[in-house]
Amino acid sequence: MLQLLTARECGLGPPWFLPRSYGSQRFSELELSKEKELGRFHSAAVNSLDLDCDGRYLISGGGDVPGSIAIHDTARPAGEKGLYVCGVTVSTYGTQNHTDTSHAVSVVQWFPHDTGIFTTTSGDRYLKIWDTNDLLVVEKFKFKNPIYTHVMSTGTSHTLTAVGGGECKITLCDLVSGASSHVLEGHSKPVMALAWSTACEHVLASGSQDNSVVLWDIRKANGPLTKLDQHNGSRASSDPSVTVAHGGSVNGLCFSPDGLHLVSFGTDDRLRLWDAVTGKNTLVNYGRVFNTLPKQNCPLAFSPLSSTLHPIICIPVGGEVLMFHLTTGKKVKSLSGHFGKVHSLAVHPVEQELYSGGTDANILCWMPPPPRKPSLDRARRSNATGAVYEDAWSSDEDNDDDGRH
Amino acid sequence: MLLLRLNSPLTRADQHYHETGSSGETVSPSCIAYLDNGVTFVGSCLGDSQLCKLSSAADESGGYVEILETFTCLAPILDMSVVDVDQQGRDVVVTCSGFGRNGSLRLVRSGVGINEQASIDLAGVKGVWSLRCGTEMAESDNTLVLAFVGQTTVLSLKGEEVEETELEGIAADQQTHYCSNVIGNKILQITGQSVRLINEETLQLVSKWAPPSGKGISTGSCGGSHVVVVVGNELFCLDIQDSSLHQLSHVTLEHEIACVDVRVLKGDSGTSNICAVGLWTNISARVLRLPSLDILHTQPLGGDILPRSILVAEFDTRTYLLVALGDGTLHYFQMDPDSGALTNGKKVVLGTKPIVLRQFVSGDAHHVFACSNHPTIIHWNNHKLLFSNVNLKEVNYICTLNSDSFRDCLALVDDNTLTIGSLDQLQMLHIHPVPLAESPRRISHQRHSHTFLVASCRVDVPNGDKTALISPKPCASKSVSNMLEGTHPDDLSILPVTTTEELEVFSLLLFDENSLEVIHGYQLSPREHVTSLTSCVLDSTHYYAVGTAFVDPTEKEPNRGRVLLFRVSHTKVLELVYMNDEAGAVYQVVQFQDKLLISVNSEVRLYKWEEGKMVLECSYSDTILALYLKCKGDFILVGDLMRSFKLLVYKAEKSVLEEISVETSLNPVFMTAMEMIDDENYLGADGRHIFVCQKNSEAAVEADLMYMLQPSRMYIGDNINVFRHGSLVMEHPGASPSPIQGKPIIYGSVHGAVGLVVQLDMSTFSVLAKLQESMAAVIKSVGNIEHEVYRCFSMEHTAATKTKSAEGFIDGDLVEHFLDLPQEKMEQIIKGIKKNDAHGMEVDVTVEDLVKLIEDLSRIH
Repeated sequence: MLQLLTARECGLGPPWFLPRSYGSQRFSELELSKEKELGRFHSAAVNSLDLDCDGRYLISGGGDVPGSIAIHDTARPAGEKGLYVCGVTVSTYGTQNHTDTSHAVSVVQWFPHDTGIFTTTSGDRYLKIWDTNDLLVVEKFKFKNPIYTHVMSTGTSHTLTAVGGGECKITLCDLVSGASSHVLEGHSKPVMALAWSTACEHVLASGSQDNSVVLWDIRKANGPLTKLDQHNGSRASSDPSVTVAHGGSVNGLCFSPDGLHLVSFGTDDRLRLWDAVTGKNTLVNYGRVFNTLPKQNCPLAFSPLSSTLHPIICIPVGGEVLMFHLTTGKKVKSLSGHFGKVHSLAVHPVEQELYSGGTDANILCWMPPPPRKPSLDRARRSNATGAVYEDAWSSDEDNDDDGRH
Repeated sequence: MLLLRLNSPLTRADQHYHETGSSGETVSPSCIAYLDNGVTFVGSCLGDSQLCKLSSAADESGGYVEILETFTCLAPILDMSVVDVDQQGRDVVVTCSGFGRNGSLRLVRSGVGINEQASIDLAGVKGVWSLRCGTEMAESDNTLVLAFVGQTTVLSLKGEEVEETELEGIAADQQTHYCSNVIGNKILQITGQSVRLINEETLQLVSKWAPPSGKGISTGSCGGSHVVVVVGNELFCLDIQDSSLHQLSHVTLEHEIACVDVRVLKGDSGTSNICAVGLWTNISARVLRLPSLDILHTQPLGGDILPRSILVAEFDTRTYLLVALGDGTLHYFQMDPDSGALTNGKKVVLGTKPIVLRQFVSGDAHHVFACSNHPTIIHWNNHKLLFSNVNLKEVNYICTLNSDSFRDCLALVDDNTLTIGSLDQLQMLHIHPVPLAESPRRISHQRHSHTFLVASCRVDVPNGDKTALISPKPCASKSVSNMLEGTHPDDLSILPVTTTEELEVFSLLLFDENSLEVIHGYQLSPREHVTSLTSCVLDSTHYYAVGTAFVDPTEKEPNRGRVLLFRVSHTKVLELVYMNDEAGAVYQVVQFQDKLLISVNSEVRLYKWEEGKMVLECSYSDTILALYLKCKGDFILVGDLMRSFKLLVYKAEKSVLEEISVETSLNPVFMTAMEMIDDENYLGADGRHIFVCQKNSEAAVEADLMYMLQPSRMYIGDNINVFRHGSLVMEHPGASPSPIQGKPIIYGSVHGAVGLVVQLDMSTFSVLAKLQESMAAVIKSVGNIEHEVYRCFSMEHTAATKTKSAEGFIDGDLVEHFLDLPQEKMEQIIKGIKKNDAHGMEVDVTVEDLVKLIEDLSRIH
């Protein structure tokens, strides 16, 4: 760290080197937070999590019947010492009569620009648009088949939400006009994953049970842009089932924050990195990544663009959250702490914080460890003897809080 | 610099390079551009850029590189110390600049420098004038006339030699009040007894005039063909005719006359001779026409201090009347050459002793030198009068000197010496380098011992067969003969030093304040890095406190460090007084009340100094890495690595450090420098912006008291390393109310920029903000980027959602361009800008008001 600080002072390296190296270091040290905890709210699996654009409010959708939605305030007030339990600011339960959330909520998403609106899809086959302050549904879109996923566009020139479900086509719902007539057809089986491009706001990627990942430009009327091929055209074959993206259904898609890469995750237990511009498979080997959520959309999350030297991708696998280096495929860390399967993920847009929700109805907060109070004795001990003899129990000094040392 | 020669022609795909060996040494380059003819430009952002010539033959030291020109660069400024070395109210900024072998200390002064070419020790000189005389029809000055009390000495300049001579016509037994070459190839000398006219060639006295009443002449002056002589309260006007002095007129004024000046002015209606006098008792200045000695205008000056010197100066197109009072105040008025009317009076304070105003010629322009204990040059630039400080302690008198060997010089007199030197071009910042050949990292000044302590780092490299580490030479730390060496604490186990790898060696160098030479040093133990340095007073003894860290290359963070306390003895030797082990890098050491406050990794600790030992009193540890500390009164501002500010307060009764305010809206921001503007406002910089945070003392909800407000921010485009309170320019107390509040803050950045941040009051700010907006629409910037867009504050992480516009800051460079605009453009821009006048009513702002305001502002740097 001292070397990094000196380099920054002397202008020896680029100015972003210090924040990003430090950020990468912090990401690699993520653990269950000792500073924050989210109170238990849902009584069944937490199916979906999303953090708003400021990284403060976390919305969670639960799988309990009737469905429940809660908004947690994750800001830890200044001056708090020790573990802080974040409170739930707003929540809603569906009741049998109240038709708003009578089924399990499958995906919740904040409006990308502020916290005034959020959208949900649930087992009742509706895409609902809620007003946050009143907690009322202001708009509903009905669908005939179950909805697997929906994503709201982050672009500013249009307010479309893409919905993918059992209908084998992608419906684009316009939040402003209420129309849902724009439809993208091309898949032969239900669409399980959707992602809007972060670089070009008209490009949408979709993954479906027909093992393919298709890139669409919504302005183009007659068909998809391109279909991604895992072999990059090197295996010529007339059988269309070979030149597809995955060997199994594609249920996780995510664009990198700079829009240059697309990551897809399939039930063939493979994670693939695609060049978003050319559509070619970059052939990065992540190893075997078990797909433990084959029947639903699996959320993928990226580390924030400018907080790490190299982008990191986070995937829920079983009861753990695995983090991989994007370009090398190396596993950075695995976060284990859930008692059940992890269903949902949310990464803070700026800092190094991660939230995960699972079937144990817990939402866990992962943060880098708080700095340890410097202690001369501890420093001397760690220098003097080897690790073999060192006590693993925490000593009294860790609990010191006013200078007695 | 290494020169690589291509071995084979360029047509081949694989080329071989042949190293011709080291050609020579230049500055560490960041870019190299070959110009032509063997001349290359080596650009560097770690030292001065150079223009070098490569030659094929080696010079005497075996190098092939000859340095043609050097371009000063202060980059990177790692630390700086703002010191008032000369006690003149004007600060000198000493920066630690450069990296590696280009490291140096730079002294930055604002002012005009004098390049001394000759000096003679002569005490008691009261006046000096230059003459040209002699038979050879000399083209340049060759004589200096010096006036002492009761006598006059003449020095003749032959080439570079100065010799005392005697001129027949010059009376050597009386004090001379005025002496110069006049029309008709004559020399005029006004002494206490008479006015003498001397032939230039023969040096014979031609004519003499004495006052009829027999009283002594107090002073006199000459312009064109008229001579004005002051005898008590009488003014005599004499005319220089071919070989005689003829009295033209005579007038008696009500009071005694203190000073006089005569000037030939070119007005619209032909030339006129104007005489200006300053009077005793009824403190005023009068303008009279010659030869009639009619009073054209009277200007009362107010106050009790009498005028000591008066000057009518013609600058370019305008004429000014300057009156200097005995307490160092200067009044200046615009004068109409025809009517003599005085308008637009302003006042400025230059020093504390009486000022003598003298006009001199530099290049082709006339300037005025105000000789006092804060010598200043008044010159005309771009339709405004500018005052530039001169880098001299005190000047009593000057005159222009343009002789064969001293071209375009000035002869300056102070209490003990006569100096002949030339003026620098009238530029603002004067940089004096002290090369160290190693990187200076931290600097601190101790007034008590008149020393600077500099922590510097050199890199020792393994020698050829890796048996030992050798230091680069020459470097400052190796030049100290009796260097002390530090040792490790006993229980420290750290990667030992080997002779196969480079090692950074830190040393503390003690510099003398005035001569800036290294007098003593202390070399720190191996692998010990200096991270902070300050001068402190503990128990009424002055110490230097140094914070260090032991850096182990195998570890991520240093987890050992020390605080060392040094004292400078009478013999200017560093003595190590105390060492305190710490469990981490000591990033900052500051003095807090009479205790020492240090930051160790993530903890802030307060130590008492008792009986020669540091005793821990209390600590605070809720930061990621406490990198910066500043304190004021009971408040401590902590700058965190990622979390910007935290404000702590020290509660003495409970002996505890408590957190009272936190800045959260900017998270995360990697701060690079910070400063406390006053108790409530704090200035911070991250790599690209500056922002001001304010303690929220009047929040409605108590919980909100904890969070700081962020009223101002701006994109500055530079990575600021250090902020310090101080001002490069002397303050003029008593002058027109200063537009700035408090003391300015100087900053130094990684790219070598030195800048100034000042606080404005609300009304000035609102006027300037509107002006800035209108100007941004008119003045086109490089690349046609809109000013507002350029200066907006954006967090680099998320996209456009996090961009906030700049507010609360005025871009001084843009606003000062206003003065360069033509009049019509100025009128057009100020439409719609209103200000509150003295009665609180909103009035349209005039061009004059703005020009005056911006001129005042431009003078503070």
